Amino acid sequence: MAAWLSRGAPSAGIYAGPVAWLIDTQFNYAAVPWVCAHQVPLIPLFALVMAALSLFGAFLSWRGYATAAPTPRPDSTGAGRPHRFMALMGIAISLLFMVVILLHGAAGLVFHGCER
Amino acid sequence: MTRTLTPHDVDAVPEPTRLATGERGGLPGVRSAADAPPSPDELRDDQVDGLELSARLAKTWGTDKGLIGALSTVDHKIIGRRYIVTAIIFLFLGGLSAVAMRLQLAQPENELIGPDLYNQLFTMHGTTMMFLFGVPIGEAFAVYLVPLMVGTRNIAFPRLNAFSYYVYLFGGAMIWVAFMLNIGPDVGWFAYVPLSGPEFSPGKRADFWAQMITFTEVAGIAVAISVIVTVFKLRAPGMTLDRIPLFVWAELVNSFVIVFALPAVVTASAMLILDRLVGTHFFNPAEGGDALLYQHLFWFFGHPEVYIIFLPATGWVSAIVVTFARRQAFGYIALVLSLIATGFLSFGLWVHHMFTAGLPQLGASFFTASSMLIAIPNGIQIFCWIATLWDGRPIFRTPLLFIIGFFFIFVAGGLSGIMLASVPLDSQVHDTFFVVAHFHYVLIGGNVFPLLAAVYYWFPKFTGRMMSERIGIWHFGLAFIGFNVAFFPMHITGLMGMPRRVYTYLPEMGWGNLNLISTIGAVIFFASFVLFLYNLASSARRGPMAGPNPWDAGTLEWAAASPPLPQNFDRIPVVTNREPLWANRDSLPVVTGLSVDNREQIVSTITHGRADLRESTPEPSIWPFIAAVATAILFIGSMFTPWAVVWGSLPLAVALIGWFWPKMSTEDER
Repeated sequence: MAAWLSRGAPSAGIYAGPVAWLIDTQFNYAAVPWVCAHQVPLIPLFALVMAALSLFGAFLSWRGYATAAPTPRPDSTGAGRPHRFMALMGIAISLLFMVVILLHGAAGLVFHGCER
Repeated sequence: MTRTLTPHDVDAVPEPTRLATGERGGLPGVRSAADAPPSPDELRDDQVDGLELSARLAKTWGTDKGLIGALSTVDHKIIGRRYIVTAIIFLFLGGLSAVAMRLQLAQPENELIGPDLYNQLFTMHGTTMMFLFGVPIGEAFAVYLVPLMVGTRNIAFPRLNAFSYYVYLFGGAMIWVAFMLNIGPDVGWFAYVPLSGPEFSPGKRADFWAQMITFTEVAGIAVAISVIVTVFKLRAPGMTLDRIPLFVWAELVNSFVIVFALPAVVTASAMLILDRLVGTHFFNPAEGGDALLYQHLFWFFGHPEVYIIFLPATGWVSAIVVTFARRQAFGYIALVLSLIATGFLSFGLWVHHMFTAGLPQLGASFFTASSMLIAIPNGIQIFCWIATLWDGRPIFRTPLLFIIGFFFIFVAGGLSGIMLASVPLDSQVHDTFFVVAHFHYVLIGGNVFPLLAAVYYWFPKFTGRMMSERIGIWHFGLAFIGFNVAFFPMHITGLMGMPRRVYTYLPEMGWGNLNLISTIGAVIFFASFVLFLYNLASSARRGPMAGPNPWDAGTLEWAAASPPLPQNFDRIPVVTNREPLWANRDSLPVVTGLSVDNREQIVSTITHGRADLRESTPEPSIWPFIAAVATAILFIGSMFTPWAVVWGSLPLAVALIGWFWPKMSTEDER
């Protein structure tokens, strides 16, 4: 497990960020009537968990970047090392979706769920 | 000019040499038929050269003459050309219906067109532009260009690709024939229930809309699958994931969005047909159904649809900006990141089309957040393109002029889009001409202007001739002025309260002058398309010869002849750079060892683009066409009786059996 965490997975962030956001969107949308009825700040709490999941994807991608083999040499455009490319993509996408998820959570701080 | 890979290249791209040297790849210790050495009796492309090689490959990969040959072709270039021409014909038909509507609205209480025909016109306009032009045109370019750009000889699943074109053609023809018989759909391009349900739309008009959806979505998904597999598995050796051209990335992301979005609308239209034909109550609240379910299903497709229309255009823009800026794309990683992020985010915005449906504000706010944040990846793209031009040495030819026009128009549409993401503003201007102005700025700016640029850019590749630059500049001027004169005033008419989809209005409303200006603009915009049509026709016959690479571009399609030979490339190129033709100006490295007499392609690995297998690809067949005819019979018949699904499946089954029946040809013996 520790070795796996240390090695990472370059493309993890590409999946983890959007999947966390997908779950967050679906859960939040379905939870609105319950939040209205019980007045529990469930939306921001759930968003924090999903943001953490997205961030974990970024971590795995970062580890994947750090441990990717430095060969072959990149060409004149910096290309030719697709694992590093995927890892950079994973880090950026996870961070972007973490921001979106946190914004979803912020909506739960503004509305109490019963507004029409 | 080409050169075979030498040991010197092995350090950069070691794997492709395996095909030439016979060294086996794959998993250690695992052997299969694919590892068998090539037959010594089979002529290979390292045994012949020059014109003889070209001629032999052209014979192997060519299409037979005559009607049967034309209907049997599986050449991606022929199918792609048909797709492009058909989609542009639908663009013109949609444009004509728009001009007719604008003439009707030019003055208050105009009696040129009655309410019934007007309802059909706006439905046909929206339906045609979204389903028969917007989605297919992006895929059409993918069908033609993606195999060339990734350096292979045909698209994956070429028979499926041919089948998809005929299904698309039959679906489009069906709805336009219905319109010409005055039974065209009249329920708007999204055909909301209960208006489109059995109670308020008796007759067959709404059925034609719903079944046209089925036709075009089947076609759309089929092409998307072919494109995804082509990009993942048929790339030229050396084309690692970070060397894929940006156009190909755009088409790849677009194909994934299509695969996940289109089933939602097919479900919606199938449920609508069931409600109308066999009396189910999916959308009937009185019997426990839910009318809002239709809106959710439709817009779960409908918003990604906007990006299905926009994403291929980003590919066109990237290709053209790089070529005319004479430098590599600034921010390649950021551009790919934007494409992927946009593809994902497009699925989380659909509720912003339903802000006036009475949803809880907290629920709506999640979609406001995503709607606003999708501006980030789109903004990144715009800045990367501007930076590429800024740091390059831009050459302002007609394609780049249309791209500059795209920047202005699309950014303006994006800004009004951010306004509409706000629930209070959206509630005020919902279903007004403000929304009409917004989405025409986004869609015409985001798709049609890049499309026109793309046609000017790739026309030499399609036909071997250049388009007239002088007419192109006039075309751009008329289009840019006409578009803005037509659509900018609509923001104001919308803010003044003019609703969409009304066939006339009273003089006292004060909307007359603005509508007249919009109509004048629409006529100018249409005139620009007439000029475009003339340029296409005259250049195809008399334009100067183009040569393989008239723009001095860097991607692989420009290494092929103009127009390309049936085999695309005599030898498969080896990619060592994102712009292979710029990196290897004198000689493009190639890999040898493929069969000359059989349709053989290289199958490569997804991440590294390593040559992995030699695989034969299907030969021409009439069965995809027959299967498409059988599909059309089933779909059209099922609008009239549910039994058509039963009896119609028999000829379809026969067609599919014929399609997959072993032919004892080379492809089946392998």
